[in-house]
Amino acid sequence: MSLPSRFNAWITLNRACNLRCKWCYAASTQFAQTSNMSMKTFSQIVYVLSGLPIGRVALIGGEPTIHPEFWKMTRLLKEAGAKVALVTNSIKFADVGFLKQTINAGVSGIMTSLKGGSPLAYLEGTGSSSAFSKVTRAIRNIEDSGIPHEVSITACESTMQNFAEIVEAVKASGVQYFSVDTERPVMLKGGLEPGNFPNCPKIAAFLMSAYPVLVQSGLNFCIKVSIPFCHFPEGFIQQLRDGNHLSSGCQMINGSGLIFDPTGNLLACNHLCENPLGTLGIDFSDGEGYYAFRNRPDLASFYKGMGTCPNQRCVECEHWTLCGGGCRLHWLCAGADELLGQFLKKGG
Amino acid sequence: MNAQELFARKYTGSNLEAPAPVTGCKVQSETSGMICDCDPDE
Repeated sequence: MSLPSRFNAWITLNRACNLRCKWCYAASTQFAQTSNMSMKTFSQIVYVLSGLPIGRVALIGGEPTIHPEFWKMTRLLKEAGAKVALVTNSIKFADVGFLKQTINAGVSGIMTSLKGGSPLAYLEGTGSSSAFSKVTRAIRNIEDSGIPHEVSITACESTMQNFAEIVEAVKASGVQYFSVDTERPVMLKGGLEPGNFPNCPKIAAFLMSAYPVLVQSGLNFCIKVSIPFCHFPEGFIQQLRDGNHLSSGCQMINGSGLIFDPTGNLLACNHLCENPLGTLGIDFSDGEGYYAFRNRPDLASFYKGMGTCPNQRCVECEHWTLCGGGCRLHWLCAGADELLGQFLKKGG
Repeated sequence: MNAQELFARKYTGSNLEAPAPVTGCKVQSETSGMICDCDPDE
């Protein structure tokens, strides 16, 4: 299998956060305040990335904006020629001065991860009643700054129930672009977290109910589909495609992502945070070393497997290239009987 | 256990040769300029 001509990278600066989302996998580390990535590790990562064809580097967490060396790290990446994106809960951007400093440091795009659509939803979901007003102020600040921005929500049990409220809040905040993702499994201690993870039919039913709400809102939006397409009526997928609302596929399937955790472990996906592929400084130390690492038999076999069809029905399916059989994390937790649907008839 | 071993032990898929590479569907937002793809977000 040939390697991608371009990679994207995600650097997890910390597991610490200024929220306590009850669904977050970082809860398993008690949102560890001691988990900040060191400047030394960060510099080593930048050195590796500078030797690779990198399209975009996203800073993620935890909450990257509370890392004590957040701006210094951003500047280092920018000076190395990277296009720097930020995935954040945006609470810190309620302070317009903090936002300006962040943009000046070199962040060129922000994705705000929204947790709910009201103060009560934030209190119940994140433990903070004041966070909602800070986030709505932050969103206005970001939009006013003109920096590329999208607001994203990852639908879990609680946000699925309050989706209409969330859409109203997003619309009221003046956001230009909204993306809807759905929760994916996280492997912790060898098992699935959270235990009450919604199954594929439930996720499909939610997305089909969310779509008309989004259309009616007038928002510019996309829906990230990470379950097999065969859980929907075929017309629904076509409707999403026709409206430029469909986002699908995954860096793990095409092998184009480098994800680093705060200690320098290289992950296949942040949802596999306890199961690294390798370690910076041991398995590779520069771009050339990364290529050699990727060509190692166990890595080559892993990524070759990611690109294969998980079931004969996928081999024969006309949607394969866009669907890819869905997120591979689902396939760690269940088999084809549960994970593949039947292309529902309209209204079915 | 590393990811390679985890998948070797627990993956339920069949590793059948794919008819074509998975490209996925990427949406480029005209307003934000961001590309929505599968972000391993927080």
